[in-house]
Amino acid sequence: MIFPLLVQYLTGNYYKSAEWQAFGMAFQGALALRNGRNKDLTMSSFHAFALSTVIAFGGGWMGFIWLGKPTSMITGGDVTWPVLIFSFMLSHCTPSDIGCKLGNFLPVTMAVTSLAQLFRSLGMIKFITTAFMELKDNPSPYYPTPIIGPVLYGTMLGNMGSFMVKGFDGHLEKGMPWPFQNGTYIYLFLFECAPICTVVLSLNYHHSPLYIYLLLPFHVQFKSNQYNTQH
Amino acid sequence: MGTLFHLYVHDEDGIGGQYLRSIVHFYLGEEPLGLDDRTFAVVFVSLFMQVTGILQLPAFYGPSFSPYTSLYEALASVTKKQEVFDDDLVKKDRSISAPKVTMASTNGGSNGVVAAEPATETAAKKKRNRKKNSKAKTS
Repeated sequence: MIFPLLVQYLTGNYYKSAEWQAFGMAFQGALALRNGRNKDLTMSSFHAFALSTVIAFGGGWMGFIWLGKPTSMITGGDVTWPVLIFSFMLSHCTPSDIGCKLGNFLPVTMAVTSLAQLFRSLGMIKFITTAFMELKDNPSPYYPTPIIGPVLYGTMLGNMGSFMVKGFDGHLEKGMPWPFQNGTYIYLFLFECAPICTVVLSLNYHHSPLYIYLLLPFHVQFKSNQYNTQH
Repeated sequence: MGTLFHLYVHDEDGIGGQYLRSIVHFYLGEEPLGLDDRTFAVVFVSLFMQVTGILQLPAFYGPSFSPYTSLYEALASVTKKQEVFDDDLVKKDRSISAPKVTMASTNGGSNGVVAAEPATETAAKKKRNRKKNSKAKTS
């Protein structure tokens, strides 16, 4: 009973799914601004609103430009912009600051985070699929499927907002940001390579993706041979 | 997660995607959890991101939490201690047998070339000089 509902939620197959996800992202971005830089409401309203759009939809602003397509802020603007305005009003302009207080109430925060994470995960999948469709007919001579390009494109989705707000050094100077980790780490981590990864990455985990991609073909070849000999 | 999804769903001919699907099919059957491959990958990626997103809230582990780096950092702290230990050993070795470095230019050398001279030799020279001096005084 619960599992089909969970699958429906996690795949975004429910009523007004896109609108709810966009609201989660927009409200999370507006709340981040309200609890951080604009805590004392000292920023001008338009500046604060524009910044909240970049914090929430940095990937939507800039992502599709990489493949020469109109950004989702333009193609999906009829959903995104009303949601952004509503979220900004809710977090900044409610009497007695009730919208902000409601947003910082833990169950509401968890629900908003869940919607925003769903937007991110499905957005990353959509970006990777879009890039793969563009590149699938032109693989490199070394592998039958374009791998790093589509993954990089999907990974950049979650990093665009931080790049725009913090700048290149500001986003990267403290080590590998979470969206980069999430885009590149998981394969070896999940599939029995955690010990190798751990040892290699512990040497210098700032350079870990390079090591992962160097290790990947050897590990896959080894495991595939092992599997074929066992069966 | 992006790499996992991409390999699992899109890499039909490559060895990476074949390997991933074969492992999942081996453990969970041809239709893992009753879902097709693409839906299974979407559910897995979304569920993972849901859990990590909730754990990264300030009320739980905070935004710096990462299930990946927590393991690496734990091991890195161990290797770091080992490095410090090794450095200490190297320092001790140097204090025992490191050659004393003198500037050749101060002894009439050219271009500031650094010349290494063993510490034991200088001590022996000093002893010889002292002996010579004492002999000269007595004579």
